[in-house]
Amino acid sequence: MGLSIEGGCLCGAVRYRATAPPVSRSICHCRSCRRASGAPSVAWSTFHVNNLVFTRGMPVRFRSSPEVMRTFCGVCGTQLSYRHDEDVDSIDITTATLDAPEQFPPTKEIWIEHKLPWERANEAMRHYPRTSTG
Amino acid sequence: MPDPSIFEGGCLCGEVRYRATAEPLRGVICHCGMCRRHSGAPALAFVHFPLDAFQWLGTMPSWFQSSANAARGFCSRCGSTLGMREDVLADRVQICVGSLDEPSRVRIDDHVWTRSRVQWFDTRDGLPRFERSSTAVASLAERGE
Repeated sequence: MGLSIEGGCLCGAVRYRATAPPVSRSICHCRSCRRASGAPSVAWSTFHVNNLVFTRGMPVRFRSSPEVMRTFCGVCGTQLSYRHDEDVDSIDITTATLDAPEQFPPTKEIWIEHKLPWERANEAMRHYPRTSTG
Repeated sequence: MPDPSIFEGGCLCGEVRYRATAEPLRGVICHCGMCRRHSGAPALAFVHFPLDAFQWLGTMPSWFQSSANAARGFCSRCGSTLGMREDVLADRVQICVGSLDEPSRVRIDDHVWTRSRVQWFDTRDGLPRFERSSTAVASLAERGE
């Protein structure tokens, strides 16, 4: 039996399953993630797109910038995923919608430039002013 | 000079907007499992505005009844998490700090539901922490998990 990592939205209308561990894990402080989530920052787990399937319902898509597609549950509004057009192999899943988020601690914090002044970064993680790739 | 008692905000796509004309009654970071799941974030921060000093502008948010006593608001177009209404706090609306145009202007008073905190997320500030809801505001509604 293979690995199975599951998660979904608050109301349960949308569920997903990953068949391999995330390839990276981060906390994003950017303004768009903050606005979409309503929270000071968002934790993301990045999966290879071939290893992630929606097993119940389908999320609603919203193109939040010309190259970015975010999805959410149309029933309860839970933020679920993020994809960037230039990174065709990856899908980011909100770590907090995993059924066992404690098993997927972030290792880095990105977009520190946009961080709220009263939110303290975790000194144990790597920090990047913007993305961790450029 | 901006009016210090005016606070505006809205969702990521701009469809839902709001305006408050009074300073928040309270600011709180909630670590409960329902706030976490709904926002997709490790913890969710709210400020409470008095209802009589708050109005939604443009399109109204959609409300999801997340428990018998609470509903959570979001934009049906972009899915942004906007706020919460609780029967025990009927005099106010709880607005997600991330939806404010200027979130750095508001004050956070304390943390609640820390017993549900995801272990790897800790803001490392010196604010008061409550295992469940704070003594300042009793909550019937979201019982942590």
